[in-house]
Amino acid sequence: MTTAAQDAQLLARVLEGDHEAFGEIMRNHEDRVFSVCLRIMGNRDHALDATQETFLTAFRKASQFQGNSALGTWIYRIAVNTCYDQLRRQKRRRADPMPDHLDPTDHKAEEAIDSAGLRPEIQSALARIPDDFRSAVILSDIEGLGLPEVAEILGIPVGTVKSRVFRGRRLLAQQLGNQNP
Amino acid sequence: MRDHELELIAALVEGRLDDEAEARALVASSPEHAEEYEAQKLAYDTLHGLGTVSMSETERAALHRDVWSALRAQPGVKAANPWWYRWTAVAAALLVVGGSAAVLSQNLGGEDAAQTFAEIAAPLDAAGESTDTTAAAGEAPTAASDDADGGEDGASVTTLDQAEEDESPASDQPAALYSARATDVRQGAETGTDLYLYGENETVDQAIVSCVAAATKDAGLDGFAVIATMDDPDQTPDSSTTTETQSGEQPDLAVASPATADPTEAPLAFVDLETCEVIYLDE
Repeated sequence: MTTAAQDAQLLARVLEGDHEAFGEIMRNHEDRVFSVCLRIMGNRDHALDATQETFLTAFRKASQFQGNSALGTWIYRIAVNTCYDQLRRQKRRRADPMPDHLDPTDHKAEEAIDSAGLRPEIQSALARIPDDFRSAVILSDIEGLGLPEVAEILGIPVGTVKSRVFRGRRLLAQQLGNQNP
Repeated sequence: MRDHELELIAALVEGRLDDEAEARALVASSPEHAEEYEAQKLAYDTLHGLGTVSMSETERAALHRDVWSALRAQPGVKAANPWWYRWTAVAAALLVVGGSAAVLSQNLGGEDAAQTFAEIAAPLDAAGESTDTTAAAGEAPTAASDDADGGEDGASVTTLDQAEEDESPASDQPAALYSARATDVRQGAETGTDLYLYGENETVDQAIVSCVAAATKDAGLDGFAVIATMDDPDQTPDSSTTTETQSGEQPDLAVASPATADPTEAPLAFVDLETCEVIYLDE
């Protein structure tokens, strides 16, 4: 895990044209980004696409990073927004709001969920709660981030994060309970 | 339920309370509070134990390859181009020059043809140094002969040259460089300090193995294994940029050959470890 000063130094080098520094930034953050994308997208291929897009966006927007937050937080924010964009595109392509690959009755979908490294019932339950609540509980309860950092990533007040985490957990519990009556 | 109560229940679920008495009393105070606590705890405990999921090494190599491929397309991004980029440019230039000379020698003959050949070649030689070379390269052949079809080829040559304007023209023979290093590998000669030949039972860094596997698979090369690593002989050290790879910390290239073949005779694939692409194949 890099310090904020180290990240700031690397980013400064990227802006000077040192692309090896960008490679180092990617290596420092790619696992966390992939993990978040995987939890949100529920599919390894989609998560990999989102991870790739995250770092490309980070490179393009490197000059816009103002240092008000940690570089990792900023990259996380790009990752979440990228996942949101991809989910919206997926939903527009499907009439059924439930992504096909998360339908537990589909054998191939179950394989995709298994490949994500998650228990199918958990990912199915997560997929059924609204995106805003899902990302809040993923960042807070799976990734273990503090509420202030989650607030920065999602661009919302801490109070709103608390509310979304609380309501997200409640909805998730309902979904888990529905799967195991 | 009031905000304070929700916060207390959340803190109890997350184990953040030094003294849980007040929170426990709240949970026990009504079925509604108890139900809320159970729901929060179920969700939190379910998610909290999942942990971070990592990429496989193949996924990681694919990510790096795809990101650098996409970045290479952006202006100002310096990344190694496949070896055939440069040779396509050279071949195109030779075609233009040779074709024009052939047509001219038929039309003009003798000293006039030689002089016109030089006039045609001069703008193409200068194409790599000019930022607005498309028109220049296109104009010379057209001016020399109406039959010369140098416009398109000239444009492609200048575009590629422009993309590599940072590289030294003197080092623009990468195939020869890689071929020479291939000879070193086959002879087992660890010249200088950058070529490293792996011993028979020596373990290769997994990231390098994965990168080479992805690169050779993309190139349609089956069963290639890493036998050596080195710095890129085609890179000229630039004092104005950081070149950590050239300081020996991380090799630029891996060399791979079919695992079951004799490396002294088998084909050798040179893989760029940053982009995970085969940049030269020595057969």
